[in-house]
Amino acid sequence: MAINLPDLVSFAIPAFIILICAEMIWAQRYSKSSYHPDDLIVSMLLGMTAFFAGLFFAGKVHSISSFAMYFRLLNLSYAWWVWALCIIADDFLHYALHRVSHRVRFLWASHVVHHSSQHFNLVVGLRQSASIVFASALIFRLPLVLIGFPLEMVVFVITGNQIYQFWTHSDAVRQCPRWIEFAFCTPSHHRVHHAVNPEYLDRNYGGVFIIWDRIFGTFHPEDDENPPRYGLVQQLGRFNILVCIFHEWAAMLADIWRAPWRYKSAYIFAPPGWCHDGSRETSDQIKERWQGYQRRAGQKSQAMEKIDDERSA
Amino acid sequence: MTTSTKIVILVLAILFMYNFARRFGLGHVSPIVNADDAIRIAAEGLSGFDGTEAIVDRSGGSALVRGGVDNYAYIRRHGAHYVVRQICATTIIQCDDNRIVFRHQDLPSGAATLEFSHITETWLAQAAADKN
Repeated sequence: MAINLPDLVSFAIPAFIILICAEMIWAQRYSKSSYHPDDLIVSMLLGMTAFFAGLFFAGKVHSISSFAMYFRLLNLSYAWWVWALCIIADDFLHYALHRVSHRVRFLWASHVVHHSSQHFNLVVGLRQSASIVFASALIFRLPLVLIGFPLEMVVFVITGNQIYQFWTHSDAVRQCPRWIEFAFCTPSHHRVHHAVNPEYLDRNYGGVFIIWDRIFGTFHPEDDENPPRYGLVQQLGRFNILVCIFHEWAAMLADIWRAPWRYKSAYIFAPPGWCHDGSRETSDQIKERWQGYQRRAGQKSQAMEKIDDERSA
Repeated sequence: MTTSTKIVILVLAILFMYNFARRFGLGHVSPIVNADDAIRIAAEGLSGFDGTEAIVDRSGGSALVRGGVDNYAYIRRHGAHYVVRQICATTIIQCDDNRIVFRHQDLPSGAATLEFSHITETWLAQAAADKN
């Protein structure tokens, strides 16, 4: 039995615009560097291209999903507990896709668009990639259809998940009540996710629930003493939407072209930053180097303290 | 509502918000005030970069930080933040009392010119030594 569910996007867009204006009023008073007009327009245009690219691919993805329904294991209803299960299962798949998007270069080439702003505000939540791989986000949710969740429910829940994530891209909201911070993805958790501070790299992938990060060991709380710096490890530094969309694809293709044959596939599937000659670093290598640097700095300061103590004695 | 109407409304909304951000004076960034400030920005932009000395552009919008032998960080303003790039001395085309010009693929023109009020002789000597 199919039911008619409301179109969440039609309700969300006016709310997004009002909230963005409200956040700009906050930024004008408390944090003028949270927004930049050029960055805003680039993010909005990227969001718009992604939205229309999504519409373009929606028909094809719907056809694939409808076909997949023939192979579903169960025939689940619209009962409340099915909704609850669908929300949890969808968010788990979001976590998995998001994590893979940071760890596999050809998926990162698409997802990098979302991280390429050095600012962090609600508009960044709309900054998405129009490249084809993004459309495959729905394909990643095929297991939900194969399990037997109704297709309309799956589409509704995916849309709701995306809309939820909008508010997590805010610098204005500092901390939520403890139980919310424990279970849900909040702006504080997501600021860590967008940060390039070595300690924060590749952390907090959760969409709606932060529980997945706590379970799978990718959680890191925000530290007030270490404010996040946003963007990419190698900042893009351009306000050009074509550069934003294609720079990583171009870099990946150039790497594949230049690499010896046995390394070519690694430039597609290895983590971003991987390089066969060791001239670049992955986020794991950056973290390792940073930990070494911190250890040496700690040892040095201990030695200095010891010398000071000896002198004063 | 047709797709074309939606596009028109979205474009108008984007222009409205852009105008809103401009009128509110958003995107403010403090200039680089001195060498210590530049060293701090370089260390934040390139994790583990240990700057020893720096020269700041007259505008306060860019700087060059020396981190060791043939290891420099070039800082430039981008939006309300700074972009830091690691460069080596071989990219320096011209280096005199108050100007440094160097090649950089990251820039649309392919090169950057930094204007300084004064570059010390020690700095110039180090840059020349690194280049060789």
